Amino acid sequence: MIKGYPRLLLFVLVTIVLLWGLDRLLFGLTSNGALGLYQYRVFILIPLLYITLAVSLNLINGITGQFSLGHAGFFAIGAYLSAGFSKFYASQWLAGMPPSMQGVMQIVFLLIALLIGGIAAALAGLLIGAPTLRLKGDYLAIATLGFGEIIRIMFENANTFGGPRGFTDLPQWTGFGFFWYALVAVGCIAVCRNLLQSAHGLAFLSVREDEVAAESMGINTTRYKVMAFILGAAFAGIAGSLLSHYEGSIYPNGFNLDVSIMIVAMVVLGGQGSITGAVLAGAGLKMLEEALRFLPEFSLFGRTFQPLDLRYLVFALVLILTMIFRQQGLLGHREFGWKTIGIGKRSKVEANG
Amino acid sequence: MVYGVLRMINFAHGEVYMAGAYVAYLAVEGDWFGVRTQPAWWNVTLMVLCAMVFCMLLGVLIERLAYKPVRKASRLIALITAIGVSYLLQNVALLIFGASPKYAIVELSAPATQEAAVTGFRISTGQAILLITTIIFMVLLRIIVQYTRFGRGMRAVSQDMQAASLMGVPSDRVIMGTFALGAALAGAGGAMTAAFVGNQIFPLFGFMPGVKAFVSAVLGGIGNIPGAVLGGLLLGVIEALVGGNPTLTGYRDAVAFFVLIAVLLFRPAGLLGKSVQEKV
Repeated sequence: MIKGYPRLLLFVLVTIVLLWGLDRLLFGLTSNGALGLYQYRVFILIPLLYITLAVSLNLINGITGQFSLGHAGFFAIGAYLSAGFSKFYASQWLAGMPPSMQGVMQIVFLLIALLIGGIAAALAGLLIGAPTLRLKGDYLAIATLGFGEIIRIMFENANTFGGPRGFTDLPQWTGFGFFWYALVAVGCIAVCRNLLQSAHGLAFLSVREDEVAAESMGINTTRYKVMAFILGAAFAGIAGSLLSHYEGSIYPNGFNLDVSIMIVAMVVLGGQGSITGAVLAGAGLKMLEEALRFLPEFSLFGRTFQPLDLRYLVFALVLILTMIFRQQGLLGHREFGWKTIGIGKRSKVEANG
Repeated sequence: MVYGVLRMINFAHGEVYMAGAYVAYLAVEGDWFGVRTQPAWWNVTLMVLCAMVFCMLLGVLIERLAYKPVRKASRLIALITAIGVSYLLQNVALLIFGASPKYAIVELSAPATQEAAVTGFRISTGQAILLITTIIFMVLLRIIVQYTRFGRGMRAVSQDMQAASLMGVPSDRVIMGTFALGAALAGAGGAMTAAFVGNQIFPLFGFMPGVKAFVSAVLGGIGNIPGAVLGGLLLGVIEALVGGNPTLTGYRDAVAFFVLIAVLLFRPAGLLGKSVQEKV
């Protein structure tokens, strides 16, 4: 058995090769018409993005037991700042390079843009997390909600970024998209999973279970809360960078409170603290939302509705009903992994809630 | 008030306020009691009463269906439920009435704007009525909380729900009553703001006022009534200053949040509040 860094490297390489293979397969399917480009986008790409968002919020809301309603804010920061880098700087640099280099450099710049998105959001997470995480429950929820709104309003007023008309004509460097979207989602899941199985992971869980007890065991609870916030924010920022580099245009309204609440609904439904739950609920709710588009119109109160108009109603109901009937969410704290189907040995760290 | 009794932010309070405003809209559209054709004070009072009754029922319904099942659970769960309820009501309103703003302005028989010569302030009749009614409601509320059996129950439950139950206070009923009372007041406020001040009614009608009320309360110090009044005034002034500044005007709605974060950072107990040491 290979151990340590070589093993990690092997995993990374295998993942990259697998995802690239899948990417080409899907590309083949869409180009010969077996899979509509629209269906591919709404049932594969966007759910992948929301898996990243839900898993990263799960780190804050589920695993560390805080309550953030401002995830869309980090998503926005990542999207806008990375797009700003690519549009205003990197694409100029790229244009000045010999054509043979451009293909490689585009990937390098995309990676840098993703990093910028992640780092900017992480810094914002630190900036907002360090003071507000002293707050509890309701206060934290409103403070983070406020933060999310401030970010949106700032981008709405920033003329450099197009203001309310949106930030458009961005370089679309992710191309077909699946490879990058999946890579980020898998990366986010892997980081969260490995974190949970480490000693740090136990510290995060202890903050959720009993802050006072955790502190008395010598755990710096504020530090772990801020760490969770930064890490969660960073992945949301990377997800934002992906969005702007795939869509080519972003709008402040795409990062409003509805988005934050939707991500919270995903985490709550999946089971706060369960990564698998966040993955399933993130993909499931997003696909459900898109599936509503295919239902026929209907009339109510003398007006005609698209079933899609009901989506926010669905999210609200998901929140309320989950809380009333199944507070632990679909999966509770359980995970679905290799050991569930009996492969591999049980890990020494067992999280129980 | 609900916060004081339950120690839980009722996110849906703003939405009940919105519901009151929509009742006023329906009343004016449908010309109930002749509020549109022959407005007189008793017609308008009936309209506001309608809004109050409707919102009271709505409040009780919310409490029974959504909050009661989760009352024993952790605060986080109650919080998520409250956010869910608030969001649900917003979207129900969006479905029923659509996103376009509605108006429910009642033209009162008195001239709409009178100049108060002494002070030089301009105040419309509608605003004056709103102010006077608010004061009346505040006095009534004070009487209920201080001098009635129900008010005593409310205070007992707010101090210690379990002990109150042991002493024979029907805490379930008291909590429901508190919700009903709070919702009725919110409904009256919504209906009057819509009808007399002429604010637009739209599904997010209650959201910002709700958040701003919370920010005022935090600014002044939670549970401190003079503090809440001071906080509200300060927030209003700051917002007007920012809104009046041409370069900052786009940030008007962000102000409340900036203030909130600043207060929580530098003086978490609020301006007039004392900090309470958390006991373990």
